[in-house]
Amino acid sequence: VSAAVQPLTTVGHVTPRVDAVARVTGQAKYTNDLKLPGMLYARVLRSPHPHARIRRIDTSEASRLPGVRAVITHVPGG
Amino acid sequence: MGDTSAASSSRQEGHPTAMSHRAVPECSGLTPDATTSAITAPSTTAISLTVNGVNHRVEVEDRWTLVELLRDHLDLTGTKIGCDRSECGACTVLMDGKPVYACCQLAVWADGADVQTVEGLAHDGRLTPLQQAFIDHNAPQCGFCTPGQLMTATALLNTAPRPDAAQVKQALVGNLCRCANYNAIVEAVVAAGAHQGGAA
Repeated sequence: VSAAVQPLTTVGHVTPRVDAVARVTGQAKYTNDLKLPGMLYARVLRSPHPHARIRRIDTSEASRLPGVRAVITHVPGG
Repeated sequence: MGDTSAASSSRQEGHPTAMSHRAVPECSGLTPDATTSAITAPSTTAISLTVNGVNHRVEVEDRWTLVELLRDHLDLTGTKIGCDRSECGACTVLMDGKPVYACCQLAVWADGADVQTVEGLAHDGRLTPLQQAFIDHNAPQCGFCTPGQLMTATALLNTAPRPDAAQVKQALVGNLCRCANYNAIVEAVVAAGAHQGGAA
């Protein structure tokens, strides 16, 4: 190593992560940890049939459940 | 069952129906064809438990898991849900000192239990030697598995204060890290043990 080379101050040195404390104390926020005002929650109802032709899907029961704001569904031929 | 309409107002009353500690409730059976059954409010049970030294008396739905109670109702989101099926260990908490998967413990089973989560490790901003070792050894990468790793390792250090790498690997076998940062995690736990054990 040439004497003209200055000692490196960053490369080769351990750099503490800026979010390290948050990650070991449970304070780090992940998407699923957020609660936002008016936030809605979704549930997926999968087909009970491994292979079938969709003729129609009746979502009326789901729509009637208390608190349900919307049902997003498949429209055959749509 | 029943008594659901008064659930919210019965918080302060006694709870003779509370299940004994970790008793397994009778399975009511799952109905595949749920659309034909009447929509009824879920049954609830009043339980009391200690979380990180704080007593909580809560009316829980019998179907809630412990991790749902902690995250959604006690706002302790440090405990993570990775797989929600006892495979990954991200939800590990200490229940009466023993590591358990909080995704597969019903909240009602925690009645009377002493629960510790990742939020309960540090006191007044002072990290435990294990938490500091995780930082020093860069054990968290994405950090999602870190709370579970910390809780299992805490239980290990409580019973084996100076574990070697093999013991650490054995203890942490149920805590997956999809960053695959296992070497750093094991190093951190071994180092924390050496620190706690008052190594020369």
